[in-house]
Amino acid sequence: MGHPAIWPTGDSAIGSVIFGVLLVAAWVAFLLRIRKLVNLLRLGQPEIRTDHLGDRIKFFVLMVLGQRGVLRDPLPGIAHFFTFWGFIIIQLDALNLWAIGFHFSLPIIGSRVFAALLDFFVFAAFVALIIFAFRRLVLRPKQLQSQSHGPMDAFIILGLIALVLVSLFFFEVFAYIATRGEAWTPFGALVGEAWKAMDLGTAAALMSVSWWANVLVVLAFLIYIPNSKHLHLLATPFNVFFRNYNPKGALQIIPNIEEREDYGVHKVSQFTWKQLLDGYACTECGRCNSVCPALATDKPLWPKEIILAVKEELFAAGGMMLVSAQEAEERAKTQPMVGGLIAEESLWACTNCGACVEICPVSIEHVQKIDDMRRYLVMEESSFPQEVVPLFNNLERNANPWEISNDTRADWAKALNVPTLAEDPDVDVLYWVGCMGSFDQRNQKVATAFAKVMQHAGVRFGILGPEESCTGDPARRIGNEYLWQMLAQQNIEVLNGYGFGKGDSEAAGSADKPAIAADAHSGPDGSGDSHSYNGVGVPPGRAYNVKTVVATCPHCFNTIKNEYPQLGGDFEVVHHTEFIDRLISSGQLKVPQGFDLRKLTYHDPCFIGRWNDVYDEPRRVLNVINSNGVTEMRRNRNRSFCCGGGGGRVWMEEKIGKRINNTRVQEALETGADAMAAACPFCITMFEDGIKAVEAQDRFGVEDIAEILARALEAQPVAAGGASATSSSPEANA
Amino acid sequence: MKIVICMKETPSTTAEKRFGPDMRLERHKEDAIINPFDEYTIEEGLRQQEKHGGETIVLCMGPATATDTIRKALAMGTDRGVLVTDPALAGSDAVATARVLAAAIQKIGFDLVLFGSAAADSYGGIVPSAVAEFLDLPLLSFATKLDIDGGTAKIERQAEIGYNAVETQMPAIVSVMKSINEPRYPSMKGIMQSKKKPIDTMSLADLGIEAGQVGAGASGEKALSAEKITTQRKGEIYIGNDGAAERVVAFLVEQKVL
Amino acid sequence: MANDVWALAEINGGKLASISLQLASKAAELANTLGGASAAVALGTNTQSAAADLGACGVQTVYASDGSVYDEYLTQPHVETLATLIQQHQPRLVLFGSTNYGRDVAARLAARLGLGIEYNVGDVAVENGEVMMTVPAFGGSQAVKMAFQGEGTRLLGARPNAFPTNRVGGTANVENVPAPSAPANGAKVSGPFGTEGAAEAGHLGKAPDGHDIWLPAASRAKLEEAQIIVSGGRGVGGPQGFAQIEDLAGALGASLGASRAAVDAGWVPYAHQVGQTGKTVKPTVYIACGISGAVQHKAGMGTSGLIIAINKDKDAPIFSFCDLGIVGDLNVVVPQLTALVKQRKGS
Repeated sequence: MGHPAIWPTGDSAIGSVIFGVLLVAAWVAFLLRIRKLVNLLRLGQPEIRTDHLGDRIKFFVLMVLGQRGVLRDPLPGIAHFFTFWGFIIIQLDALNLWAIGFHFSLPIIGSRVFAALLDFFVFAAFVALIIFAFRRLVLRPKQLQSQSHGPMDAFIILGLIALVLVSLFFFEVFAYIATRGEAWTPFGALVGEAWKAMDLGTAAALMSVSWWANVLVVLAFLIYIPNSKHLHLLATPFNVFFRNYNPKGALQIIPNIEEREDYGVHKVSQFTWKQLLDGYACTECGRCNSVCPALATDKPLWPKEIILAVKEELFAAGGMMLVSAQEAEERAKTQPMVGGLIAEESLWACTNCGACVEICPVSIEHVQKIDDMRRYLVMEESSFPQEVVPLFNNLERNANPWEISNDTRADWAKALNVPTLAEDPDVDVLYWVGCMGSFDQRNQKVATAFAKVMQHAGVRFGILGPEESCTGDPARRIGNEYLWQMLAQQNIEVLNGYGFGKGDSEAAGSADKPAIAADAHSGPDGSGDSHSYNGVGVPPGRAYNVKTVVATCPHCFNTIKNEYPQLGGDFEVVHHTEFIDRLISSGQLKVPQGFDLRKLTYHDPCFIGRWNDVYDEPRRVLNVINSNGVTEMRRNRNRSFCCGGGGGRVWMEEKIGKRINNTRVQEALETGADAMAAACPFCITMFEDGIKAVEAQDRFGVEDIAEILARALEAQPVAAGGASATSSSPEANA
Repeated sequence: MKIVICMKETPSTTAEKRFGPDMRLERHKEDAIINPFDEYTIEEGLRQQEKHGGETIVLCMGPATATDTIRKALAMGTDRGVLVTDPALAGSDAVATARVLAAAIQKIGFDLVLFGSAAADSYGGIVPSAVAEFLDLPLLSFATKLDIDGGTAKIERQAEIGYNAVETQMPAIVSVMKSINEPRYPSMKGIMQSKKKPIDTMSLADLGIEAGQVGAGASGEKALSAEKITTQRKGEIYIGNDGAAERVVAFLVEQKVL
Repeated sequence: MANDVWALAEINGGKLASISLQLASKAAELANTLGGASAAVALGTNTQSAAADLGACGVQTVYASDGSVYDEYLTQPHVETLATLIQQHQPRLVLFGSTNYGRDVAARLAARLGLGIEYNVGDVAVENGEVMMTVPAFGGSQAVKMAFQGEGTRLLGARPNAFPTNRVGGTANVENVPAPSAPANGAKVSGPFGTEGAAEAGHLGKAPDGHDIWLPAASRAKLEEAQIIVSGGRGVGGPQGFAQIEDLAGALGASLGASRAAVDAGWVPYAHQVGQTGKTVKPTVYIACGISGAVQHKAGMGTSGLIIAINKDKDAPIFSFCDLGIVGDLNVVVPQLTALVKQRKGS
């Protein structure tokens, strides 16, 4: 492109000066806008998001550069991949186009190889653009129909991109003609060859027009993007980079809660900067809305709209805060965020199932925000569904959700000879029964079944009985952080007192205390691999380490495992489905294969599934005992559809819309299964109600995996692996 | 308006309860709660204050440790507490308790005095009426709704059959039923602020009451022995439709319900 | 004189309450044992008719004071008259009912005259000339034996139905006592009221054809205060089935409850829901019809005095914490029960 006659700004300097002024003006406008956006983020609370730097970089490369997240949905995914890379290449090329405006060319970007690459991506991006337009205009998926925006914004951007591509392409074509085929651009050359007859002057003029069109549109883009919903183009990479590396299932702690003056969030400035960045990053793809169980059952919760409302509030209230703190305070009084842009009933509709967080391609964390605002409502305003009051009062007074004396917590186990730790602290495993297993008659059956399974396998275990308190999970999820901290601290003290703290377990696991009674130990020894639950190593041939806590309730499991560390409680805790899986695979528990002949489906509880990635273990157990294996529901594993009981919802009335539990029961019935296997007391409770509500109780039921297994074991009393039935009680092994 | 809210500290409804050798309830501090009936009293006091302004004072007679329980009432939003405590008060009966409370109410000053309809440990429901007598005022008892309009207090009252509207001049003494409201749960702000709110203590001497007028010695009755009744439910199971209705009626008669 | 036993009758709007006869019967019996005279005090309107009924239960004398002031004001006029009578005659024991009326009157009387008072008495016996009382404590988990100490008239509050009615026949000597004038500052009854609260307690909601279903007795207690509750669950089957439950509640003078399942199904309004997320109730008797009794329901009614369960599923959890469980079809048992209760109450 060396010929002086074809500089698109003309031979004189005037063109270059005009272009220079425009270029600088656009960049100033862009940078001013970015400065404001950054200042708005700085209104947020501090939060450390630079831990796990290596992982962050790796993930960034995969998700942003490799576009792995969006590729999960193939058609728009591939289109997005090419648009994204086309966008990057075109941006780089823009630098060269700008240089051309000043009559020089950049190295590499100005090279022929790059020009060929550009040519290909311009074409690919154009095809992608047609796919997007087709999807929006013809397919119109539900999640793309936004509450707050019309389709205009989307068409503006698609139109602008089209202009960039078209102008760039014609620039190539006319440059090819004007320079007599010097460029190396296959698609451009194709058209250029066809129009070869054009005289040089016309070609140069048209090239100039194309160039101006392109640089002007790109500069318009520069100003438009950070001022539009397409801000996500800039913010998403940062949001992905700064994603959460704490355990997924943990809510953030409110430190020094007794010394604070405000609790939770009702002003945007109380969110952390990362929570505010989520708003910039939202692409409004609507995937979160499409998977939300509350929205699916006609409740007024749109996860996407919560994120966008926070962004809108940030621009309005935050913008005012940057100008005048006093005016912002006034505004907060007349136009509160919670109760204003975000309705209280939306916040209470959330089941904390995490489907929105799981599916979000740009690492937005919806649930923490919802629960932060719940914290404000509960702890500052004492404004929450009235039916929750007895729950809080009873948790405070009785350490369980009901008006039942906690002294009776071990009563369910009386006939089973299960010792409490007060009676026998020298056990390997603590069975954390939870309130439902301890007091609810339906779930007492699950606790009994699991205790029998452990006795069958010769596990030396005990329970805490009256020393066990509610873990506090329902309180925390509803927003009563203070109550959670009180209950959690109490439990941590008790667990540490019995040597379950991880620091203690090293000593406890020394040679004189083998993890498994010697006679219960005949699994395929030395087979090699050490197994692990969630990264916790277990020696080969063993099912568990000593001083392991095992919980049948996913909510207890999640909070002890992921949240108690925030208060200094560090325990090895597993869910009973993981534990049973390990008992079987280590050979400690021999199970009759294919004993259960029913057609079974399995429901993934949110708090072991999505929040803790326990998907395979329960299925492996079922695949052993059941002859048919698991018949999957339409939505399974990380796409599982909540039972409706999480996030404290089981303690609230469900007055709006359809019932979530009934919806899921219907889905289970659609598989044609005879029964549903579950692994959570709340799921079981919700589904038992749902099964009766849809009047399917005569042909369908719900059972915990432990119950199914216990039945199989009882039918075959000859125990496996040396743990004979006669020595299966803890006493016999002691 | 000055609102005195009378509150009792009772053992938790789920706590193991025993009599000591002196035939008095053995109290364990950690089990003490606001008498569940009085949560409604406190809530009603707060609602009246929200409507009419003024001050809410929680009055409790009990052991010195009852300040912790008073704090819970302060956390709900009441302004200050008064604890009447004196070793000589131990074992006081309902009438003696009423005498002490009446003296304390007199000393505090009041426009409205609120009581719960009973205490969850004794189920007496005697004290409010006796206090009204000592203060020489009528009692608006068993209110399911309370309206204060100028100089008149008007309640809807649960009578033996149906409901009555009953009214009196202010100042008024009112005992409230559980259906009058839904008690609030204290906010964190309330809990933190309650730590700074004042709780005054009063002794018998402060109230000008002789020790001989109160306490176990002055009680008109005394407990001789206590027998633990089995708390197990009877658990009788009758199978079949035939004769089932007859069995239920016979059971209700045996249990003195019919 | 020193061993006289009296009963305080309870008259509501000219109608003698049934507890009055129980108290009169017991007063006659105790006076006989102690060697004193028996009497009843009847304050209100229509006292002459009341005196005849009380006499039939064996009391020798009825102090009757007729006047509308007793209906127009709470407590104070009753206390005026009683105080005068007690000071005049110095009975040893006055029995009153541990009811709202009895407690208000007796407490005031005790405070005014400095009398000993005991309440919620379940049983009375005379041992060596001493009156011994059995009083349930701590929600009925303990029974405390009590005795009066000191001198003077004692007030004894008996639980409703603690004593049987004993119509021994007889006619009391009626002594008419003048009614006091209205108190200068009193609690004035400005009229019966039966709209708002009763509507909540009595309105069952709408039938599928759109018409309102009302409880027959619109004046029943709200759930939280009810002494008897008849409650229905999913086993009731539908809004029509609730009509049977409602009939039984009507016959017993009970309030109507429901489980969450029945409320969720839309058969009964939320105001009737008993349980963790509904109302917490503690009636003397809770009759659960077609309710399985999961912990969320138990949380709202587990501390009820007596629990009677009717359910066709013998494995229902409620059978493990009831006092009387009927394993049967509520569609058969409940109507029969209603008929029997009506029959008995009518007699």
